[in-house]
Amino acid sequence: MNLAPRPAAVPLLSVTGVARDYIHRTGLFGRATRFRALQDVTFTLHRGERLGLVGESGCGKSTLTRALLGLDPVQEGSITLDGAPVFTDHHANTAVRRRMQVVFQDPYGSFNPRHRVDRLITEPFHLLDHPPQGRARAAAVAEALEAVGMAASDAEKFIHEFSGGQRQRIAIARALIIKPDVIVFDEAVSALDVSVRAQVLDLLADLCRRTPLSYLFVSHDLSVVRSVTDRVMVMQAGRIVEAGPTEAVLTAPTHPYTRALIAAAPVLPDPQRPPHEPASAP
Amino acid sequence: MKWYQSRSLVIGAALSALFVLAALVSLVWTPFNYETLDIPNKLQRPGSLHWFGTDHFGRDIFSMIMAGARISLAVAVLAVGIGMGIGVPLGLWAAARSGGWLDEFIMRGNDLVFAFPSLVIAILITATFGPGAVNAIIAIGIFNIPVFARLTRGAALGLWERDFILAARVASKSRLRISVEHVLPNITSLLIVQGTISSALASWPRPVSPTSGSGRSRRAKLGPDAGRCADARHPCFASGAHPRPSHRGDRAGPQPDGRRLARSDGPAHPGGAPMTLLAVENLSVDIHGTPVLRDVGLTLDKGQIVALTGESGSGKSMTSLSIMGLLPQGATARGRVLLEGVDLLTRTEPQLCALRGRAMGMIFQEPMTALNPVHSIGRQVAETIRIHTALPRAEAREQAAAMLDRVGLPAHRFALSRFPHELSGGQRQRVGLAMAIALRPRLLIADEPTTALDVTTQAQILDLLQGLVADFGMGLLLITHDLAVVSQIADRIVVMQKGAVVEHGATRALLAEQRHPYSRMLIGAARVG
Amino acid sequence: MIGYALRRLASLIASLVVASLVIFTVIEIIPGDPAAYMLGMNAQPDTLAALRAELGLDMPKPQRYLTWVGGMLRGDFGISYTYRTPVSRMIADRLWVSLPLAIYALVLSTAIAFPAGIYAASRRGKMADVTVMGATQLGVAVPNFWFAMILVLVFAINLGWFSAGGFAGWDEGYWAVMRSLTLPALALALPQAAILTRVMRSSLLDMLGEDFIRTARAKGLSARQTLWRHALRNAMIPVLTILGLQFAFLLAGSIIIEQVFSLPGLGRLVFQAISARDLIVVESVVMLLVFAVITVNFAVDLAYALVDPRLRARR
Repeated sequence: MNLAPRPAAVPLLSVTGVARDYIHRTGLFGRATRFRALQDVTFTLHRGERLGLVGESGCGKSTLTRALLGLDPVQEGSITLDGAPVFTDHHANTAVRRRMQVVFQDPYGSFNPRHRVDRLITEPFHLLDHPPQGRARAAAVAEALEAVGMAASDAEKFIHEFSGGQRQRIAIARALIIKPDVIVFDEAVSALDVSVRAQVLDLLADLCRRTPLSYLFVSHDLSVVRSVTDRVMVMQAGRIVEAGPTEAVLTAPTHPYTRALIAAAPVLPDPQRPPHEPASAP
Repeated sequence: MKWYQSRSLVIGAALSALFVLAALVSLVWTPFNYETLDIPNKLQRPGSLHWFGTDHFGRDIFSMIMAGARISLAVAVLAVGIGMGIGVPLGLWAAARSGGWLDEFIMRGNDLVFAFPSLVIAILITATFGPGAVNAIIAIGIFNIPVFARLTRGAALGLWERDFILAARVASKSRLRISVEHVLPNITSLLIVQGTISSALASWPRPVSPTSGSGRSRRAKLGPDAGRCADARHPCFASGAHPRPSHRGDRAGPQPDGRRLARSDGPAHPGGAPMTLLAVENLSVDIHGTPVLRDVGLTLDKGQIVALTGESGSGKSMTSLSIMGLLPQGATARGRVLLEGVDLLTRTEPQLCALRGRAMGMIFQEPMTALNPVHSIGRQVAETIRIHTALPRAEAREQAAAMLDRVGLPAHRFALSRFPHELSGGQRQRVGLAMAIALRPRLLIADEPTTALDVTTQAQILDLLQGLVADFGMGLLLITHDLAVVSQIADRIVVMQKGAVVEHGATRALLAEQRHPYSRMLIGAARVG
Repeated sequence: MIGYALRRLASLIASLVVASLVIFTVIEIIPGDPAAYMLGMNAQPDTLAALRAELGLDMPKPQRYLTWVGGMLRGDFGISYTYRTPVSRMIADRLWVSLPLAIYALVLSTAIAFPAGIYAASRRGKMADVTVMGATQLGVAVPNFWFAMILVLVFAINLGWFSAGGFAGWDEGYWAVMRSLTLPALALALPQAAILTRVMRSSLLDMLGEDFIRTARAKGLSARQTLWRHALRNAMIPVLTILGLQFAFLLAGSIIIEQVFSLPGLGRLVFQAISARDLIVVESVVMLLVFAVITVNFAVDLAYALVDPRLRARR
């Protein structure tokens, strides 16, 4: 898939030395144990950059995502967007948050089943001081829906009327509607069938070509990250163990864990080249 | 379905309406004054004048019932109103601040109120403030508070983890607003059910609330069709030609059919060509009249790995369940499913029971839920052995240990007494595998065995499967949506779309030729990522 | 497992302490002086003072609370204001009626509900299931005192198999006790059994939809075997909860049934004590009931851990 060329590097989202602990308490008189889910995580997302984050379940990806979105506080380090912290005084910083949006994994669980699409995708308007009303609002809804390949008339429908792929498109529309600076894709295509997944990834590349997007694409699947990111980070046990340009990391990994990940991922043999012998050849 | 088409709803609504009507009408009119004594007319039979007769004092019973309905209704509505009015906000609040001191405080307080039986509360309150309907209502209402608080908190906690709540939090909505806008509307049905039950019980409080009713609408994968497939006492088993060894009354001994299929080392038909292990021919399945499979055909030889692939809803899993004879209730299958020449579709349920686990084994996608949480892993593996053979417990455990060792869970590191929750996903999948192959079945069906696993774990499990096929000479039917997984280990690929096979062939050839457009699309999608 | 039991025990004691404080406070805020109530309107001030001293009413409240709790720990519940006999004796007499009645009713309701629930679940959607569910609907809707009256009409008055009311006393032998307790126990048990049957059925059906049931079927277990070996034990957790709650209810909530059958049980004792403002009796019985409920819940918690290995590690 070909992404639009990457603009010059202007730091946008900066993460410096972030650590996050979970305190696990067992029962009323149980001892509290500390579990460090993130350790010394540092990276920068530049404006217009498509950054990938790869790791296996339990490696701390979700914890990092939540911290980036200002859903949870971190114990050490700082997360800033254009210099402003995402989380201040026990509260997420609204001024920062309105510049970030998220697309979640589960196309079935990420929408309140009782609301219409119209209301669902305008939820981020809550972040604005002066959300568009009336005509302007309807126009924004239509624009967002059409940007992701849906019809403006879909705004009147309920979410259960759509397939998984369509729902993920609507989720992207919801993220785009306030034109955020950064979008976090949290395993956004992992629950989709391969053909639908390909369409959603195509859409993403298409959107990038039209307007320069900056996003963090979180996934457990290397092959997905490869097609939609410029740079990738590999995470293991709460630390970033390797980072670099996507192609370079995937073709010439330096960290043993990255190598293990790549070796484990099953790859379709290229029909042009002679296939390597499958172990159970007849 | 419109609401008036549901018979029970209409009957229920009519009865409730009648009750409410009687209560309301009694405010302005009753046939007689229900307090007027009329001793000469005492204990009258029901008649045209006194519809329900009269009591000891000649009071009209129908009028008394009408007036009584008013009080019952008031008690029910008010008591539930108190319970809901205070309990629901408390529960919502506790869930929104889950883990905080407030949550802890509300829940501990609740435990305490729970400790007082409802009538004890009623007693305390009436003892304190004197008897009377108002006090009774308050007492019952107080009892309802923890019931609603707990129910609300439980349901709300589940919602707080859902992505749409996270999305609302990302939109910086306050917890209060999220509770009202997103949480409350999604738990109303639960609250209504509880509310109805509580009001029914309000006039006679019981500490118990069956929220269950006729069973929540969870998809039932298997009808509990206990009658058809019976244990060893079932008469079907007695018809076998071989005398059945009668160890342990409640376990089926080796069955005639099972044994022949499981033990036959050569072709089942003497003089025949080397037989295919599994042949599915023209298999069509309907569920309640809706076709889900159309003329599916595939073959599988011993020692071979055949991949069945396609996207969700293509009928892969339905095919595997048809082979195992585990189709959901309401499904009918036509065609033939031949396992070593025996048509499984014509087998009776007891005969199939004897084959499952012995001649054919199956593992499933979700390692987290596929094992019984309350039995140890050793017991679950040994069960496969014990259900089909007459081996004593100790020997079955030994065999189970050997099989767990074979799948990479040696007993010195993974004791047989471990429980599933003490294992990781990959380890659980290994236990599931050990259960499926404990008796070295000829056919193993693996339904998305690695989909729920991380890539590194997936590679290990695929490796293990491959090794087992080579060692045991099993046939493996591997069901997966992931063509990349398939291309690594499968000998042949069968591609399904919308309940039908669209293309099949040897792995390399199929990947190279890609005759069917759907296969092309699948392969293209898998290659791009 | 032992750690789990100890933690539960600690929270049991904490609950008991808080419960005793609540009961004491509630009784304290009741207006009216028991001593004045006992002596009537025309009591002399010095007689009143003497009685107050005798009953310990003149002590400061914290001290009275400690005396009350300390006494209970030694089995001394004080002296009844109205009957002038030890409350412990009165309670013990009544407990010999209420406890057997509660246990009897619990056994009956379990004996009815378990088979009915399992049967209905195994025949889901069939005629038998619909019939059982219809019967439980009726059982839930009909109050137990109505059952009591019908039972008396049929079995005591028409057939004469059991006594219609009164308690024979343990001196008359077990058979006589059975004769007087069977109908009340049945009346108490029927509505409880209806609820328990529904819980049993729906809990079993939930379990039968689980993945591990499919795994068990793939191993070659028959549907009936999966139900008994795999579904039942997993389905016991909600059933145990309900059983625990029901026992507590049966012990405390039989006031009306005790009235219908004129049994000298705890419920009636409380009832009489309230009308006579015999607060020390009320206080003691309520504390006893709460103690029973908390203990039963403790037992249920332990039973959970026996049934479900996951709970032994957690919480």
